[in-house]
Amino acid sequence: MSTMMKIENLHAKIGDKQILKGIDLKMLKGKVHAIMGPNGAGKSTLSKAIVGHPDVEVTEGKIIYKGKDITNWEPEERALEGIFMAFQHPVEIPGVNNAYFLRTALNAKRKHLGLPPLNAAEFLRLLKEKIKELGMREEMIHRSLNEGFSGGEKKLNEILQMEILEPDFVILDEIDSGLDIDALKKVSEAINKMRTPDRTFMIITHYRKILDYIEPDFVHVLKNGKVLKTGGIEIVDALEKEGYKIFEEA
Amino acid sequence: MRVLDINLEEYGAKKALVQKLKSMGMPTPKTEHYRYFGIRPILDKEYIPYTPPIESIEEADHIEIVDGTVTKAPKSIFVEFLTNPKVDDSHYDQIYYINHLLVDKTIHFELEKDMELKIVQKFTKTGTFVPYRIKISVHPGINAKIEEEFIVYAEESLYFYGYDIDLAKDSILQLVQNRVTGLESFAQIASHSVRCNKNSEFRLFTFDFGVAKTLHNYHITLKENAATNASHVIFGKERAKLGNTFHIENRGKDSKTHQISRNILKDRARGIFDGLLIVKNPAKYSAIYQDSKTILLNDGAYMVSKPQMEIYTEYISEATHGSTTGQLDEEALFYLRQRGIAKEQAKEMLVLSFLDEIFEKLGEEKIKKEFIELYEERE
Repeated sequence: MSTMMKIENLHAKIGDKQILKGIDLKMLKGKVHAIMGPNGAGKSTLSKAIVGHPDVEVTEGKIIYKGKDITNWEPEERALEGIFMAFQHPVEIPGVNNAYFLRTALNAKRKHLGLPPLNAAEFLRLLKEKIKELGMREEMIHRSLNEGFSGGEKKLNEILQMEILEPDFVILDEIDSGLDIDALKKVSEAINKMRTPDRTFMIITHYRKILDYIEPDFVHVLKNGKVLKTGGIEIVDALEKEGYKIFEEA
Repeated sequence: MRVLDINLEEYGAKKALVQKLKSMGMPTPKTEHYRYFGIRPILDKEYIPYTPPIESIEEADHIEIVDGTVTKAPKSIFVEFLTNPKVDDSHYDQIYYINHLLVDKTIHFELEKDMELKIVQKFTKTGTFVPYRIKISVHPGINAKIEEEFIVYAEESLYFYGYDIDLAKDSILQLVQNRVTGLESFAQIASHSVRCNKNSEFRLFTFDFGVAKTLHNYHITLKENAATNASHVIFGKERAKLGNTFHIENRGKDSKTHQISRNILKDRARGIFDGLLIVKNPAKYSAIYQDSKTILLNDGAYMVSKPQMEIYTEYISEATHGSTTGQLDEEALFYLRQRGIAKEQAKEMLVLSFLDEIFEKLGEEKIKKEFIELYEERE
């Protein structure tokens, strides 16, 4: 099984605070990796480090993606190479039309891949098809990006972007937060449809529920900026019974 | 000549203007609306004086004014030259009166039917001081649109001009002033006076794009049920000083003022938005709204934003004002970049989204495209 992403001894800080203190993690092609851990464990910082968020400063270690060291790449370079993050709190951008934004992003990716850009009509056809599949309201594509969207609509819009951009490595940062059961099912179904032997998912979550819908191949437990435990779904069962204390460092 | 050397005693024939100026004094760096503009070096500089001549007017589909001289106009527009036009006697700007003092023949356009009109202003004289004025009379019930465009070649020059606009009862005038100034040494001070009679509406859009030093001072008065809807965009770069100041007076009941300003500044550019909305005592049930937002693209850029209100009546239906200055939203920028959009393009998307409210309101793609071209001329 080939490696999609290998994280080696990753240390990172936000401002003056050292948050990641030596993460070692291997994520495999075609697999779903769940990242769990208590508040402050470093889950979100890890995802930010992977996507190149400017708030995160990597002080030591490497992020190897498809065999390339991307530790110092610009965020858009990582995105064009297929790294996608569904945000926990997608930002609202008034005045940037959802469809225009998505076409710009898709055509940037197509250009990167050496493909011709899609014109407005071609793109709209694709977009309407995806919107229908996701059960989203069509008027959302003509609205400003995430502006006035409900929590569920924002998450669905993240999934829509994922479907349009077809990334290879997907980070779902607490995609389940703020979703009711129906919305969670809908989002999970869409994610499951996207599972392919070539695509890797990294699901950051606090709760088991989403893992009932999207079954992970691996579960990694983070605490104090390190990976404490890696295993299968049985880890989630143990966490539910005992809490994070069972994986405390010796 | 220097503007500061103008001797009022030489203008005895215009006694009222001289008296007004004597009571107000010449503008100084401490004069409130010039405080942040740097007026002294402009007025203190030596220029070649120039009096725009009156020439024969060629027929065209637009009005062309070259250095204060009307050279082209549509046949349907009545053009004349006034020796003693009616002057706004309560303007706050001294240069309004100096400008009138120096101009013997005011250009006058009469708008007698509904129309869309383009005015192209060309500035070509180098090292020159050019004063002129334009009066526009909009007849009762007329709905007119004017788009003003600038073409600037004049280096080291100073232009004084301004509109005196009379909107008759029930008329509507939309004035779009698209002021692109690509020369740093070009300076312009314009003083406008707009009188909105009963039930009339004045829609003003100003776009100040560029690197020059320009200040436009507007005195707008509103009678009963009259409205002004003013939207402003400043995009300044390099060492530009671009500004607009206003006194907008709601004088009649049920009059309305709605004003928004969106400013983007980069390099060492300075923007000025100094707007005073006044509601006079008889202007019961008036509504006033004013909002200024600024994005500074780098540390050296500077914005002076002064939204102000004076209300002299107890009965007012709305009075809102606000001002914010900040930088591009870093989280929004990152969000776009995370989707593969290059940093500069992402910034442009955010800047355009910031101006979207005004471009949407105007519904004019041409100015938006012009802005994008200017914005994209990156160092």
